[in-house]
Amino acid sequence: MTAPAPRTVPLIWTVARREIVVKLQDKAFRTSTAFLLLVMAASVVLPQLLSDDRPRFTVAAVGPEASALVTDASALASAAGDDGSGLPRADIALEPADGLPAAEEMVRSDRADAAVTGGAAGGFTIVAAREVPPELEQLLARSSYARRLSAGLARVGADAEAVRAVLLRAATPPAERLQDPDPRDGETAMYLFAAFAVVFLMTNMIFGVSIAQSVVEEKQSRVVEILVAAVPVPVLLAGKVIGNTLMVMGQVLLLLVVGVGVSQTVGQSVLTQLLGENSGWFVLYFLLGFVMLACLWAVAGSLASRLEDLNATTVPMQMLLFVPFFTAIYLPEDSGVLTGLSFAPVFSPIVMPRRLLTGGAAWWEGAAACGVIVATGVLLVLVAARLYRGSLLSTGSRTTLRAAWTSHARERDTTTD
Amino acid sequence: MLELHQIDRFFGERHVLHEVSFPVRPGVLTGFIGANGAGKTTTMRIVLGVIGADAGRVLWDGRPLERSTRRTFGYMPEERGLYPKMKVLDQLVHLGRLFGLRPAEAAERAMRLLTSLGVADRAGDRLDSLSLGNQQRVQVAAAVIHDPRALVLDEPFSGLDPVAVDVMAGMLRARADLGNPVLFSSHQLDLVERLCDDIVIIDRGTVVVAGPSERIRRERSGSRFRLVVGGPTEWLRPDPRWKVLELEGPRALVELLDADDEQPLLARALEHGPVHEFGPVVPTLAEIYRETVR
Repeated sequence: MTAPAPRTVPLIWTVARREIVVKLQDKAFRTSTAFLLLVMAASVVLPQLLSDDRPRFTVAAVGPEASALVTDASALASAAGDDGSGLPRADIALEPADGLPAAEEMVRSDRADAAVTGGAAGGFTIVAAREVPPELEQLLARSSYARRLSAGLARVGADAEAVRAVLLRAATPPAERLQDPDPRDGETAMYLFAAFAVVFLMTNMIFGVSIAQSVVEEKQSRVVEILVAAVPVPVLLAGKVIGNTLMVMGQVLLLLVVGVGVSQTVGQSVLTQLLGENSGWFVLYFLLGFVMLACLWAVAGSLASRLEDLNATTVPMQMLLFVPFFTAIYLPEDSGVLTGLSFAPVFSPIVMPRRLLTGGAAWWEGAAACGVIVATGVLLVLVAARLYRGSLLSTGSRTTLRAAWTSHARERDTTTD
Repeated sequence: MLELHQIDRFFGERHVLHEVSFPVRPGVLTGFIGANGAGKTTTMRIVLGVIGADAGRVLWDGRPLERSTRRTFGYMPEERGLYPKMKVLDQLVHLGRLFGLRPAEAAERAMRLLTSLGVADRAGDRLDSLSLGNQQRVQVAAAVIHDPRALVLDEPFSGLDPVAVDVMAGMLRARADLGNPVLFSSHQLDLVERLCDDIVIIDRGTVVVAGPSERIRRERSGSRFRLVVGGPTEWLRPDPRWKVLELEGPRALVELLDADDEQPLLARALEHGPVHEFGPVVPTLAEIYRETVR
């Protein structure tokens, strides 16, 4: 009994399947994925937390008039930010005090940030330990002005409540209208691009090195001899690249889902919108960008003969990632160089997403760049397949590119197909 | 039948195989011996298509070996080769699938092999957690997971304990009994002598001896005879027809100058008393090896 020769596609899938299963069983991989997700969630949440620093104040009030003043200030503070009044946002808690000594004692013992005493007629007094917190001072001052003015006007016959309401509303500054507004939040877009670039760089490094490692492990353990006797070399290469590509895409989709989910939860509306609009591009550039280099990573593995050699053989690959990365991050916006590089092989997968995100590129430019990446990828796959074949079975020391390139023809089959 | 025909191979400037030709007959064990660096591994790798030949061909039933046929060969590389971090059963199933088995079929065959090799209880363990001997058994299972039509094993006995040697030998014999060609290399000449029907000796890339072991040893036995007598032995000494190489009590090793003088020697011996033992001395494989490989 002999097994029938299997067709190519199931064979590729068998190789790819092993790559995936081994990866999923790998503790280091699972840990690094969890870590990446955590970083993603944190990078969405942190800016929100940092920008949302509402100070909290506890204010002791002596008597009903002072209490009313603090209540006014508290209402102003919680409405601030959304009402365009220009007043600082804050949470103010009222703590009624039994006389001035009690209020002073509360400030001294740090149970209150400040105490308010007095009334609209004779004027209010704020007592604080060293200084009145500026946000609190501003809010209390605005409230005091309204109360004293309305009290004064009431004495000359006006409706004190109505005056006070008008005064508080009148504090709203003029509305603004821009003739040529920038619909995008440039800072958030650049922030998001940096996140894309870092994730692109990290996943490419992680999975690129993983491909190279998987190749060199097979070389080092010599299992490659059995594999090559069983399966044509291009099938091995294809299986590895496809298996790892599926893993990359899985991880990237997971990151996107977490990113969108978290940004929606914490109410990062601009970020959610940007992510929603661009996630299609992100996924596309990730896919093309990774596949473009994946076969070269396999070559970096096959040039090495031991895991230790990978440090040296993967250096060119790291350059192919880091140079475009820093270029895309640091080149100024609106420079011709950036536009040019967004269509350049190798640079395109990371430079074009920046132009798409920060608003410099039209959709057809994005599509054209994809064409460039695909063409580069096809060329690199052909070169890599030859180098891989030429170096996979060389043992002993590291193989040079030249040796791999020329020995390709000599390691042809003795058999006919 | 598997046959190598005029294989040449260079590594850079070095000519490592010179027109290597020999048959690997079905149903018998062929032992492949030679010093380190003589070209055994290179030859075997060429048979499996792991590397190419610069000239010559590998034939199967008289026709050039096709890839689809070669896929049905079992191979055990010299430095072994499995995934160290993969579980034993998982990797056997993986290899079985690469050879075209269905997953269930591969799993079933793998378990059966592991059981017959006595390592079934380690099926769920990582390969690198097994002892070297047990790893070797798994390696054997990997070589025959797809029920190969021919077996090529590079040093299958190296590093095995005596029990494992017997298990391996039994396995090889069983494969041969199925009518498959089995080629294996070894440095253990006594083992090859004991197990192999055919032998191939390679020296610095050239095959110096190839053929059935019995025939080769008989051909090289020359005219040496072992004689054990019951009577005196002094009569042996002065005779122009033979030379006494060794004499120890009643036992003598005699070299005839003319091979036809075998019966006269026996007749002379019988004249002086009883003859307990008389026969040609067949050289051991080790002796042949030392004679041919210099």
